[in-house]
Amino acid sequence: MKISLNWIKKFTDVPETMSAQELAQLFTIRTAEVEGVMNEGEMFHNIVVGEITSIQPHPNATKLRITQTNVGTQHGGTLQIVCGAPNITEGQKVIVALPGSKVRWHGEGDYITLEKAELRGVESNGMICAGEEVGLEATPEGILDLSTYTATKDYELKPGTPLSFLLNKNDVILEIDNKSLTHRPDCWGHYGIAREMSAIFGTKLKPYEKAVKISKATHGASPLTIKIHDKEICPRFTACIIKNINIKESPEWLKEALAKVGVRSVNNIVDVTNYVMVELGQPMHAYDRHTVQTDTLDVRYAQENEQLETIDHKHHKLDKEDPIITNGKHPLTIAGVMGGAYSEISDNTTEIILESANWQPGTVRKASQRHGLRTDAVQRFEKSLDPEMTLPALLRAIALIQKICPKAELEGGIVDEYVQKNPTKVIIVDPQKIQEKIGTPIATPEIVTLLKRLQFNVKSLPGKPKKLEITVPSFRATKDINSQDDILEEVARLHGYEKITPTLPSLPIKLPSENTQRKLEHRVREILSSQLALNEVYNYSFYSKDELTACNLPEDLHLKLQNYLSSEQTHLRISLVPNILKNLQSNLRFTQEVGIYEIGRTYTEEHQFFPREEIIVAGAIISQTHESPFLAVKGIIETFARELSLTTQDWERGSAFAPTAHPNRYIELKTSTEALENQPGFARVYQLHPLIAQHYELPATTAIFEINLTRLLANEQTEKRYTPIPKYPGIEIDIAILIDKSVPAGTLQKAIHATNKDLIQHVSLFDHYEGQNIEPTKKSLAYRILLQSNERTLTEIDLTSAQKAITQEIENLGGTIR
Amino acid sequence: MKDLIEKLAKEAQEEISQAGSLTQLEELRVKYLGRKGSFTTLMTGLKDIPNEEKPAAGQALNHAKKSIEHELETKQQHLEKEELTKQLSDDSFDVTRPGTHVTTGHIHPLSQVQKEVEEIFGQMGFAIMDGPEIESEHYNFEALNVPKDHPARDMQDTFFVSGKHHENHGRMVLRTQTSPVQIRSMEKYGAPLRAIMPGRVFRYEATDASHDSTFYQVEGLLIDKDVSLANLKGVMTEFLTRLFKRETKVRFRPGYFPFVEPGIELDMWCLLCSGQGCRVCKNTGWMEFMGAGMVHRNVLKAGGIDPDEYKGWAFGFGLTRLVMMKYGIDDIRHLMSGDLRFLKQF
Repeated sequence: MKISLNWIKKFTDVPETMSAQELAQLFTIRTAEVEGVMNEGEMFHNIVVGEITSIQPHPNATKLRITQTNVGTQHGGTLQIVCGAPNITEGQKVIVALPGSKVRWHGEGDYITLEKAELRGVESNGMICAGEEVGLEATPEGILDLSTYTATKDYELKPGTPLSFLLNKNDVILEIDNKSLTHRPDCWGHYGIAREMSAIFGTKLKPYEKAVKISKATHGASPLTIKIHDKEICPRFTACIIKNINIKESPEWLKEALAKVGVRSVNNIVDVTNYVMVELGQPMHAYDRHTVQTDTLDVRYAQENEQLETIDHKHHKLDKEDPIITNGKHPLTIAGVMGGAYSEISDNTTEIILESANWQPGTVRKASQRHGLRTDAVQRFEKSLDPEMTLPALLRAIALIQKICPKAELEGGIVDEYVQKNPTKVIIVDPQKIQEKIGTPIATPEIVTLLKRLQFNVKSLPGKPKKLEITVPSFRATKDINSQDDILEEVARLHGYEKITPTLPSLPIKLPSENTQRKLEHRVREILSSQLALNEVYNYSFYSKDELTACNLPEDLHLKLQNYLSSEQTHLRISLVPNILKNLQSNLRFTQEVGIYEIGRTYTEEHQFFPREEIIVAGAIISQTHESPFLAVKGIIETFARELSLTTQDWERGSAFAPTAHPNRYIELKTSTEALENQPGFARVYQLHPLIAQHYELPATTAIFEINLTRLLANEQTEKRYTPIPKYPGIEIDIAILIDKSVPAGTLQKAIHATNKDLIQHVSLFDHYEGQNIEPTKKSLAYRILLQSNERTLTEIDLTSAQKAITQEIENLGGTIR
Repeated sequence: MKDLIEKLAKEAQEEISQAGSLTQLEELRVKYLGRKGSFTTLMTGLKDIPNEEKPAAGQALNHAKKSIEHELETKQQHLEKEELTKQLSDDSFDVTRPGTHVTTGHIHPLSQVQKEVEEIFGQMGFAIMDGPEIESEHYNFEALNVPKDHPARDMQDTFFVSGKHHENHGRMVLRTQTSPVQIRSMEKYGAPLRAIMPGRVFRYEATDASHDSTFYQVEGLLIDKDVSLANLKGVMTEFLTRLFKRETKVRFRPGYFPFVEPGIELDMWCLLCSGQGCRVCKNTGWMEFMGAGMVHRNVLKAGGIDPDEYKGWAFGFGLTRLVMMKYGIDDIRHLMSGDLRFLKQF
């Protein structure tokens, strides 16, 4: 909302010493955010009226002449200025741009800052300007002769008078953030803002009626009848009929006043209603009495099948909850939202019905949303306007119309249907409590003063502790002031939030318990990123129907968005994998090696109200350098489990539902608890299903892991324990085995270990070979076996007997030692 | 004999001191002390001299031999050291070659800053709390004093879940703010309460360089018997000073959020000019940082806390915005892009 400071000054004094910027800052910290400050005069800074006292030829240039120009004593008196215009004469009043001002050479290009200059060897202390050089209309004849330009204006052309003053460009426009006025129905017009400023500066606020010189209402009989059928939608309806109207363009002052605050001029009557709205904050509406065809207006909810063409020429099918005004036959306006085209003011209008009403905020708001009509009126009515405003607004409008159309006159008096008067609001507050909650000492007399400045009525109550009885003015009583806390806000902001000294609260006696889930999440990141070199990604919580179909995810487990931003984001994820696959796909454009993971929530529909939210870690590896991304991912999970000291079982072939997995290259890892309770494993590792890989154009070897952190948290984790470092040396033996491909390496490894659980500490596979020099049905596996005892140094006999047992076992399994 | 020994010893000393290499030195060792060396020969010659001269000659010879051995040893160490020095200085290893590349992973900047925020508040006695991302209208709006048809609901465009409605909860929504966790925490833990609630929130609004449908917020809540606005200022000043590792100030100005009364907009010193005023902060010296205020009575009541006994304050700021400010990220969409060229910078 744009606010003109000159307009404000009609109602209260604003300190002259304060700059517009300072004022904006102060208003921002006391009342509402000022988003922008536009200083009209700034463009004309250092541009003043000058009088040419003498003209001399230039010694070095024929087109240039040297003038002595008086620019007023405050700007240095008479200055020497070189000028090239042909139309200068002695005694002429001209526009002089002094050094530091901004001008455009010949009215073209950007504004540049003028400096003192030497023109062909002669000093020049400024510039005598053409109109276009200072942003006014062009003067092709040369410089602008002020005596002709201002012939219609009654200003004295004194040398030194700022041009801004001459042009009446001395206003400051404040742009106030509408959102910060959401709870301030009283601040939606200049008078309300003036009221705030008077409270901020402690200056006097002129009563509205006095400031704009309007008389008391005349309550004579009016031909107008207002029938309010549905009382809850219209607390007050004030109106009158004015005849002898002459519709024409608004006078300059009115057009200018509206233009400054960003309102388009329509015609004199519509402009008056808008003027009153931006001045007092009360939206109004004018009807053409002839097209309305009656002097009886009905206020009610619309009926089904009723229609209205609004003034923007859109047709609306009305809803039975829309508040409307009718002429007894058909709707004329959507009340508080927008008028109808049918009864709007036209060039032929001679008599008007002028409405100044108060509407129920919720009803207006819903109707506005329903019809997509977000007007200035809606913006104000939805905030809960003060019904007390309707009458002064109407009186002001009548006075303005009579000023513009001197023949205009009221027909009869004013109709005022005041069906719901708000009761007076009284709040009892304890000043001590207010102080405590603000956390800074504010003496009770100051509290009283501040509240009185805001036009609250304050009375001290007898008794102890001392309490204050506060009567809320009508313009604050509609919505935002209801309790002691609301009064506290008024006191705190006017006293000054900046005066509150920051203090730390004392530490609680009982320190908060740890959030184990958050801790685990951060730990997982350290393991996966810092130790295992994966990169963390964040993805959206949604994907598309195509995506879930491509990934074989059952649609019925998904929650669907009712409103979505794109067809790519319609379903809430039950798996992190689809978005991870998209990450892989997009990164493959730049790199061959991708290792990523995400920690995020999945939302699974379980046919209770709330879905099951689980925290999942999902990751993937695509690699050209790894022999097998699957094994790389398997290793990652093994390291992960070791780092977190999880007591896990051996890997199992995956059996839990895993729609994105290659069915034969899918394994799960369970904690002991999970195994015991026959639950699915907390972690799974798999190669991507070939069809899915194809769909996302990913390598067939793409490997995925998924860890269910929610389930892992439910299981206990063990602490790391120290085991003594062996005292006796161990012996390592390497054996290469030729065996049938069908025998899994894991089986062989376990079998070797089982031959001597006391001495064999460790069995690891260090080579796996299939191919040349080996029978096609066989593979070669090489194991390194560590034999070690805690009690003694091993002997040759220990070694041979262990070897013998191992060989025996391998042969039992159909293998041979190579 | 004695003269002969002395002469030989002198000659040996001379030659040893002049030896220029370990090979030369070895030759000298053989020449004097070898099996056919001069001193060995002299030793053999001892048997031919008269008996009474033998002890003296033997002693002299032994003495000379030991001294030569010592000379040889010293010289050898000296030459070895010289050789090593030479060898090391002749080394052609190119130390300017780049270090071996170690592949590391990267933690997302949002996670990094979130952890930092959690640690700072943790040190001030705040617990870290969590709530569901899929919420109900009850928790996301009603319990937070935002009744139906309130203009404040416009301030947050909401995603609704299709076909989900509950008698007490209303429609199902993707939470538009972390504030519902306030209510859930109050219900679960009661008062006093001191917690922050970082998390993912959703807004149904068009995406551009500074708006995304998904972003992160941090909610904070302090409820106790003796709590004031001055504490809020203190805690936020301390938090921002620690986070940005330099003196930071905050200012309050009136703001409107239905769940607090009074409602406050909290600005912080402009990161660029520290309150001096610059182009970034439009010469005000301040940057908008978060919304805050004293918890509304109705909200305390909704959380099951007696508003006459307890009071509190709450705040909420955009973690995503903080991350963007901290690292100078100019487009919010990078954060959810999964682009490794972006992620590997952190």
